[in-house]
Amino acid sequence: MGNRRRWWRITVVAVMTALLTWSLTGCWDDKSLDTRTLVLAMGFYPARQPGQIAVYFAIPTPAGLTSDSGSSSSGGASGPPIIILKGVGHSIGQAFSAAQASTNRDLYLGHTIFLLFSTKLSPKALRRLVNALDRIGTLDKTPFVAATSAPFASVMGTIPQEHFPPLYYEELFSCTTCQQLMLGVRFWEMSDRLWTPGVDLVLPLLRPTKQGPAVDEVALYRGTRYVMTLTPKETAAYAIAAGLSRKTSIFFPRLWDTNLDFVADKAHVATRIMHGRLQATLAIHATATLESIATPTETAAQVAAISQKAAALLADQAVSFVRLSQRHDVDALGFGRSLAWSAPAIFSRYRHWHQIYPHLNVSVRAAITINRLGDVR
Amino acid sequence: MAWITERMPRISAGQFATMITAGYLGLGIFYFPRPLVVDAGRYGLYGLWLDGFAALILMRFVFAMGHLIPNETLSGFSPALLSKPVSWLLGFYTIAYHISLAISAVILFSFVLGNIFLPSTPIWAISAALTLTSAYMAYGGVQALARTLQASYIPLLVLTILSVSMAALSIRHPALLIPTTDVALVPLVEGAYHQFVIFIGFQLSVTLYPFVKNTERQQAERYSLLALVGIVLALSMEYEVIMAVFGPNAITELRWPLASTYRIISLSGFYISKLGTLLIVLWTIVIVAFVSVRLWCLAHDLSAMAPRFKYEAALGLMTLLTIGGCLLFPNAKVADLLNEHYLLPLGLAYLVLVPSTVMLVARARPTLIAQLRTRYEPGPDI
Amino acid sequence: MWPWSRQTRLNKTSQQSDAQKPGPHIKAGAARLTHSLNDTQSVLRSISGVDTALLKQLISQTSALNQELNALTQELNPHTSLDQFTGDIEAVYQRLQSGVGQSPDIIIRRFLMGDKAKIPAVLTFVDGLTDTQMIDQDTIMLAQQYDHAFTRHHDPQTIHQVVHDLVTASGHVTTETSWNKLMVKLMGGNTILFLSGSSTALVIDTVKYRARSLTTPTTERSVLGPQEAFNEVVLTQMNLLRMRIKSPNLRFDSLTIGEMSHTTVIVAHIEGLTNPELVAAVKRKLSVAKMATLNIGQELTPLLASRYHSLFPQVRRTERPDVVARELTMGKVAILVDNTPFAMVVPNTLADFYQTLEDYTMSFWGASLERLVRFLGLILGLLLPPLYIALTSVNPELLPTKLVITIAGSRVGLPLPPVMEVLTMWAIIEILREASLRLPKELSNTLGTVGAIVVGTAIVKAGIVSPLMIVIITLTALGLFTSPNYEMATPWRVLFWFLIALSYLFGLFGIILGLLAILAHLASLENFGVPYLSPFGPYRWRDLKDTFVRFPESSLTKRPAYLQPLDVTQSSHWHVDPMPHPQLGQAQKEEQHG
Repeated sequence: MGNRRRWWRITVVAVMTALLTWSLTGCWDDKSLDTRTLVLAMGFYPARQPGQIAVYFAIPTPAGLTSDSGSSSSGGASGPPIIILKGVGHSIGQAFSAAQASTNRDLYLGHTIFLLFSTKLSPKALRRLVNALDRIGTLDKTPFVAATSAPFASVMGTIPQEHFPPLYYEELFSCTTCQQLMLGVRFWEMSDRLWTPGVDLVLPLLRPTKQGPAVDEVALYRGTRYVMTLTPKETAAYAIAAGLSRKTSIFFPRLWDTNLDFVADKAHVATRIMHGRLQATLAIHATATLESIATPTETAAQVAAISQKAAALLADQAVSFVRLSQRHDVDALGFGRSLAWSAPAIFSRYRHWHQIYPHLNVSVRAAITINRLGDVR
Repeated sequence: MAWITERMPRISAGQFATMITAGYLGLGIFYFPRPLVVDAGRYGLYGLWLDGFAALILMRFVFAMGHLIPNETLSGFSPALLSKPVSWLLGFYTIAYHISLAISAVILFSFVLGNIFLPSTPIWAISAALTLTSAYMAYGGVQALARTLQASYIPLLVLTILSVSMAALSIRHPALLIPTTDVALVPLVEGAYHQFVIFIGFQLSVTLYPFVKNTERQQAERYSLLALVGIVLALSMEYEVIMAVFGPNAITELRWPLASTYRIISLSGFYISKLGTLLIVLWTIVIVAFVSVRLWCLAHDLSAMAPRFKYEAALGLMTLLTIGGCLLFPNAKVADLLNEHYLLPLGLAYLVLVPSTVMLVARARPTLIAQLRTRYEPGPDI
Repeated sequence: MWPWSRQTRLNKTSQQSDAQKPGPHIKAGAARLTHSLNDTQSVLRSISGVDTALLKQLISQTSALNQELNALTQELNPHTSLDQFTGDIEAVYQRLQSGVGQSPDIIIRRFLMGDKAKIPAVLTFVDGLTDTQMIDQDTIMLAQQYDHAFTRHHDPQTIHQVVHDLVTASGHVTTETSWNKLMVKLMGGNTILFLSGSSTALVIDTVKYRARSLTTPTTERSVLGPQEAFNEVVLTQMNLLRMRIKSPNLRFDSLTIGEMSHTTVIVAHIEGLTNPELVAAVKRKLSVAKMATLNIGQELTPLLASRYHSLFPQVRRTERPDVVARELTMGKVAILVDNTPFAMVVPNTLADFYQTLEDYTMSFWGASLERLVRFLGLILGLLLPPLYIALTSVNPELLPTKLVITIAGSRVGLPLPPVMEVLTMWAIIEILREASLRLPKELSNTLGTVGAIVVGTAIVKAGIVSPLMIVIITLTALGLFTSPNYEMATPWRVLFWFLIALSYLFGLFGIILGLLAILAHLASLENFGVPYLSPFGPYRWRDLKDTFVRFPESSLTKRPAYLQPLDVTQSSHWHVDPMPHPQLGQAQKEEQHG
């Protein structure tokens, strides 16, 4: 009895020891931060070779890290805060391996906070990229996404206000009070739009300028095909139509020199069959601050006149954008999606929503509430 | 019989309900609500309720079988009632089935974790760690297991509420919160059938039922049914949130819809920004509970069938089998196939056939039932 | 019992020796033994050229043995056992003188009792453990002067009764005939009075404890609570409890444990309140104790804990009488051990170790805040370093990017991975703690502070650990000691390593598995049938009101459910206010006018 028990105990101890040693041999995922290279941003461009893509990785340098954290131990290290690695291949994996070859540390995607897609990417490449990125488990699905026609290095060029450009973009897009138009699109929203029929992709377009990056344009896609870039004015109209406006200001020189500020709106899209015909409505509801007016105090009649005028203006803008999008056949507002969700049977009858959309009858309603008088936020 | 004295530890009504609740959910939680949405689209919610209703009926059915001989487990009384060969067949079927359930849950969760969290850690290590923890929880016996589950379900409840409300912040299509009224019956039933995998597993009540304190039996059943209703409500909320965040088309493209929904939760201004991702790790509690309840049940049944095996030895054997079984899976797709083509139909068959057979035989042999009842006299309650 | 076990064999031999004890052949045997001893002694005296010191020792020992045996043989007679006191006062004197009397603290006094009767008597006591005034004035003086009863009817066998009834002036006098028991009583500080002719000796309670005075508690301090701690004397401990619970239902049941030490162990409980099954269980568990000495109460914990090998303490030890009194009134059992200034209270749950009396001396707001802080301290102390490892090495994706960049920046150039950082710092902290515990009080404070600051600064400057690590490890070291009970810090300090290893292997997933395993272990513990994890598993709603937060007194009217006391209600009438608005103004007016 005792003998058996002793043997049992010895076996257990031996097995446990073996297991412990075995488990300690590989450090598996235990890689401390200093052995990882944080990829803060990735850029996707067509490569020179046909059918291949070039992937850029923006990574912080040790010098950038120490000067950012303000730790005194390493003194004032100098050098650029980030460097850019490039990998070329048929897929992300190949490009990743190629880039990995040029650094001695593990490229780590867990902190990628910004993804940049070139507008020159082919539709096929873009679809493949999005699917591949979606499969990478370690890659977070919340980074912000943008399109650009400029090279990656110039977009990631120095920005006066921020040490690390990817952080600048991340904060810019996630800040609700610091943008005129809420143009930020997260990666999961992008893939969601690509998977859902009846709605098309719109990405903010980054344009590096001397003063820093300009974010006042958007790129429209049909499916994964890049169609066009809207001008800043058209972008403002898009934002109003899509309910993304936050700080638009409207000036009426003829109407007591009135200035309406902080126009923020919500838009609601509905598509349904009425009397056997497809009928879409776009309802916009905005709030605004009456910032300045020629008279010292405003009367109720003045406010009514101003809001009427402003609503008409918003409706005009929205209509102009809807016409533009129908002309280019890009359903950026999701009229088709609305139909697909409210009447899936009818939507499935259309083979291609893009054949229907240009001829869709859209009516636009707009209303504005002036709810603040003269506060500057 | 030595049996009865060995079974002195008794659990309360609340503990029974907790263990029964831990016994399901583990398998379907990862796909939820994809099977529903793939078949039924926007009216999948009705499918979920249909599932909940079916589970309610089946649970009552299984409990009704428990009333026959309330103080002995099915594996304990089936040799006398159904003859030895049939009871052995049933026993083997039960053991094989439960072990496949455990393996499937472990391997699925290991793949989710391996995919999102621990990309360089081998899957066997994740699944072995998970199974060993479950085995340790089951090692203390039914009372300790029930207490552990009770204690760990408080944080889980809080987290569920927290996660649902945080995910609700990312709702982009509030219009999708209202389900459509034009419903097609066939896809709805199909979706409900495929989603029923989330309720598979409360069969273990046939083993667990005799452990409830004699005075709390009725209450235990009521609690379990109430817990089921609560689970259905919670799942409905999750369904609504996922639906309103992604829309039906995107959900069908997501591999782990619930996990994807949690992963888009990001917080700024806290030490942990990806709180949703953290919550996925906390699912470990659900899976460990699922597996440990299963292992307890398996070890108990095995030692009932073959008294040579002590409970601890049986538990060790079952743990090794589970870990070994996990090694057979090269990827998560295989586990998907196993679930869909074998575990789901076989589990449903068990739920329907076993109680009905047992009850039919019992009706045919009332004297034997009376005899068995007196043989397994209720022991003193603790 | 196993028939070949050591215990049985021992029992057998002792039985045999018992059987041989009385009998006429002993006398001859003993005489022969004495003879041979005398011979050996003389032989030994004549030996030379060996170790003289050893020899001298041997000689003195044999002569002492000789004396003792002489005394025994003198007293031996065929009809009584050795243990029985015969009434032969000279034999008693010899026996005492040659036995216990050889140590200098035993005083043996011969005197004649009664002014006229002059009965020979022997009195013995331990010098220092007894009150000499009581012996001098209340016993010897009275006995020598007493002069009534002896002259009239002088029956030697009842004389002790006369002395008991009429002579001695001490409060507590008992009688005893067994020599062995007498000796134990003597060593306990009693005075033994042997009277010529009487086979019964008188045991006079003259015990005077040399006790430390009552001091303030040092291990469990309280701001607003009572400032009194137990001392080593079990009688004082009982007194301190009686002062707090004046009910006659407070029972102290006495046991003696230790074949050599004869330590008094008191099982305290309240009759009619404490579950009798619990009291019986405690007594039965203690009654099986077989040990030579019981020096400190801690030695009894293996008997009282259900799974002694568990890391977690199951017996709560406290030096505060107010805590013990409160626990007794809740329905627990307290165990007091002589010479141990800590009382032991059973049964306990995990939550009990996080409750202090302090919580009940302040408002429920303050108490709840303190409870939450303790919980936070536990969480931080246990989880911060494992989380640091998990979040910086295994799962950095969970942290905000800015924080990751800060941490990565602070780790640039560090040679060691986070695990080694934690291990290094923890080793330093533990060494500092141990050293400051052992040093004299005056030095330890200085060492602790200076050590922490100097080492901390230096090790950061040296570039071995990051500054963040210092913050984390300091919080950890402090956090684990927010537990009001010192013992409760130990399990967490050990489990900390377990969690470190798991977080190194599996990151956050490992930590959660580890916590589940700890929870499972806690759930499997039971102490006297009380689940250790109660009221969290099993849920006990009534008891949950006094865990993470303390509810107001008015809602804590019931005693803890897990103790299953006979009387559940603890307090009531919280909602009755017999005089809601005292008419102060009216009373003043009436006083002034009339």
